[in-house]
Amino acid sequence: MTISFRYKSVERPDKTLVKTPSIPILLKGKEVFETIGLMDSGADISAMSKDVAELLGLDLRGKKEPAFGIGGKVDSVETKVRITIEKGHEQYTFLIPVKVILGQYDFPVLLGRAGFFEKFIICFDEEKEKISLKRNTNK
Amino acid sequence: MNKKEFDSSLQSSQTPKLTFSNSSPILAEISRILINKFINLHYLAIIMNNNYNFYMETDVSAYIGKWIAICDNKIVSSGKDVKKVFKEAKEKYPKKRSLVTRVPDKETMIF
Repeated sequence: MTISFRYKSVERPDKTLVKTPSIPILLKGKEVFETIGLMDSGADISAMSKDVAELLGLDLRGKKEPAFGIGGKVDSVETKVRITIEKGHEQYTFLIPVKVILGQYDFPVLLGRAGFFEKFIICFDEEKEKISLKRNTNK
Repeated sequence: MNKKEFDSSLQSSQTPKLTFSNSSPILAEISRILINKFINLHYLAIIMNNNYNFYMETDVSAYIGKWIAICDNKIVSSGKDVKKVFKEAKEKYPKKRSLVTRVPDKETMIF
């Protein structure tokens, strides 16, 4: 079965539109956090801010390593988080790797490829502003 | 279960529990577990979809760069600090789950 979600459009003060492929997710650590994940096909791995990771009670004792983004080089710790994606009668739960970006960086939860994209056949329809996720039964 | 109990259960985000009294105890227990599991999934779907749909339909441009918490078809908390926004939403609606998200303000980071 395929589940579809829409792009979210937000108008900036300069009247341009920010369009983001947004899907509702449930993150589970020691705390449960319902949020919007931005599908980021350009990201090797999912990412979240330190504040969100601390809210979830994730284990941040791992080795610090650099992560490279548009903003340059930042310190990060890799850990794992349980994620649930649900729509209608379809519900999928996985344990995915995530990079926690240390320092005062604030951004929405980004869903990158590792441990997540291979679980689905994903279609980004820019014209219709829709994302479709079809469960990859081989994974 | 009457309508009032059903609505009350929905309001508190707690799923209604079904009971069986006139069947074999084992069969009744299995049925109860399966049906309550189904209802749990169904309610999770309703709650998540409600918050998500509200976010998708609402103009949140006034909150660019901020975190917002959505519960009961309204924005119940907002600010720059996700921990404070989450805590405030939880204090206002201790029995409900809010959707907490950051309204994107610039190009998405790529890691």
